[in-house]
Amino acid sequence: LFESPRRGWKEVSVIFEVELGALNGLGTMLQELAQADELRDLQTDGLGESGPPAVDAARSVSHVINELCLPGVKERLGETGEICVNLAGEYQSQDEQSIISFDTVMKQYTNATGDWDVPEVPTPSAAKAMVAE
Amino acid sequence: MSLTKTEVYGWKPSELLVLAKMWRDLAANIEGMFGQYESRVKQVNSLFWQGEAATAALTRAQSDRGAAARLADHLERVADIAENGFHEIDAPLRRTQDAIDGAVEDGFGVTEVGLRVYIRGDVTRDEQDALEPARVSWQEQIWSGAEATALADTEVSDALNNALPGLRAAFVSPATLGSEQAAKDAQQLLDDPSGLTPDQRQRLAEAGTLTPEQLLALKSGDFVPISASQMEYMNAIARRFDHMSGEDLEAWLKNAPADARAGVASSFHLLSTKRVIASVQSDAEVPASGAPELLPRQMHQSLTRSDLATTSDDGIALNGVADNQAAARIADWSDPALQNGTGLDAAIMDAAVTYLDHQVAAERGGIVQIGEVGSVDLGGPQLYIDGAEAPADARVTEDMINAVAADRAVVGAAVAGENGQAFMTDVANHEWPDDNKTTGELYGISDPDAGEPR
Repeated sequence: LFESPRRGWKEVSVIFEVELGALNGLGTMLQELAQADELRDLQTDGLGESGPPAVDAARSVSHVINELCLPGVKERLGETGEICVNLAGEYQSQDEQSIISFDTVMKQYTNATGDWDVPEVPTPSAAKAMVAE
Repeated sequence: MSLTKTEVYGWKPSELLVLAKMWRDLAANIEGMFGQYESRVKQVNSLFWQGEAATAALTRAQSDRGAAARLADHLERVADIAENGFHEIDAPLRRTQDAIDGAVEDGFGVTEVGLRVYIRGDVTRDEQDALEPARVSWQEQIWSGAEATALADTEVSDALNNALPGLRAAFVSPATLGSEQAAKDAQQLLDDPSGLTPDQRQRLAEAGTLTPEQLLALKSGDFVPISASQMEYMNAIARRFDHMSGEDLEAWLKNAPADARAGVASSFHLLSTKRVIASVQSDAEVPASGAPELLPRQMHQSLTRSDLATTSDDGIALNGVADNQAAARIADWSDPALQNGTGLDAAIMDAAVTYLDHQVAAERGGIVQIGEVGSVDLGGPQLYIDGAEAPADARVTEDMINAVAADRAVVGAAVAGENGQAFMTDVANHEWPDDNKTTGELYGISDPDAGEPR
């Protein structure tokens, strides 16, 4: 008697488009973050010229940050953004009859982004073992 | 180490604070960005997304924020080392400077090298005796300060250098690789594999890894979703080697450190496997799934060439053998845990099956059975390997089968497949020159005589 009204294709399609639009917006924001000035390479010019040697060692840390940390973070933000934008674009052009659920889109998003695994800061003894390797 | 006077006054340990501040600022910025990402998802969820989709989006954003926070922890920790290091070096350095200043104010001289305190000018023996206690006192203060400074510097340098492996491991994840990083690493591999930096080695090694869940999926024969970033990186590396034959590639990669070499080989396995999927369709740089065709082009062409083996009046010719044996040795460099139905292993196995079948034909071709008396070898067709005459029992498939033997899914498919019976007959009939080591590997037993399963 009180069966809820079923949504028509038109309505489903409009909702789906709104959902995809928000995904596209999220993607654009992440791509912008990936380009942000805050992720510029660390500058070490002029540092360490007069010592002590520990400053050189610290410059090596900055070098590793520039070579590995920053490209990794930018890739994570940029690629996640690209996945959002691509998925939104891919399904925006689907015809009404082949609309899939937005849950499915987000499953793809989860799989395509993959888990970003960052280990905990090692304890001093674990760090020592890592160096020994 | 003995400091010079120039160093005592020239060293700027305060630069450690400058660098530490950069790292702390970066840590805060990274955390802030992933905080913004999470906030945006929450905002979108409240307005547009619901149910499973909203949960999926928030779960990913929160897990990334957690990863970013751990990344920031690593940066903070190394900043702690640098800041503490500043104090450890600066205090004795200042003591040394003050002692030198004091000695000079008292009229003494201090040498540039060795920081020796000496009495200036012409003095009488009596004056010298009177000054000596003060000279000795300044000398002790200067030397002990300089020694403590040098020791602190060594300790801080060691602590920072020792932090590098942990930082590299924290900074590199398959989910944060990509084509730009691959382009750099591949270029170095092409220019000089022995010159790969520890940073590049870390990326190459990491690219060929799977999480325990992904490994389980691979072993179970399920689809293995990997990140688009990892697929993009692996594909970009492989594309840079399209022009190299298997032999050239093996010779080249042999110059790379073992960890990087293993990473490249593992990447080839994953990239060649159809069940390894990236879940994206519309990114030209990211294949939607692995495939044998994504192996370096010449390597793939050689493994799948239509004339792997040909028979003519001249004899039996096996072609592409050297390249395909090299491809097998490359495949063998990988992490064996990944060898589970990979496209690379399957292609090597297919080529080996074809080679073996024709080699056995060459071996058996001239043998004629005479009733129950026995057999006589009348000389079979000539075997050619890569265009050169070869004895019928030449080593052809041993390295190939040994390389893929760890891949039980591929071995199983070869044995149970359409031509499995013929393959097993070939295996039984071939004159293995290696005391049946290869057959042992194939059947999964380490010692064929012992009959123990592996």
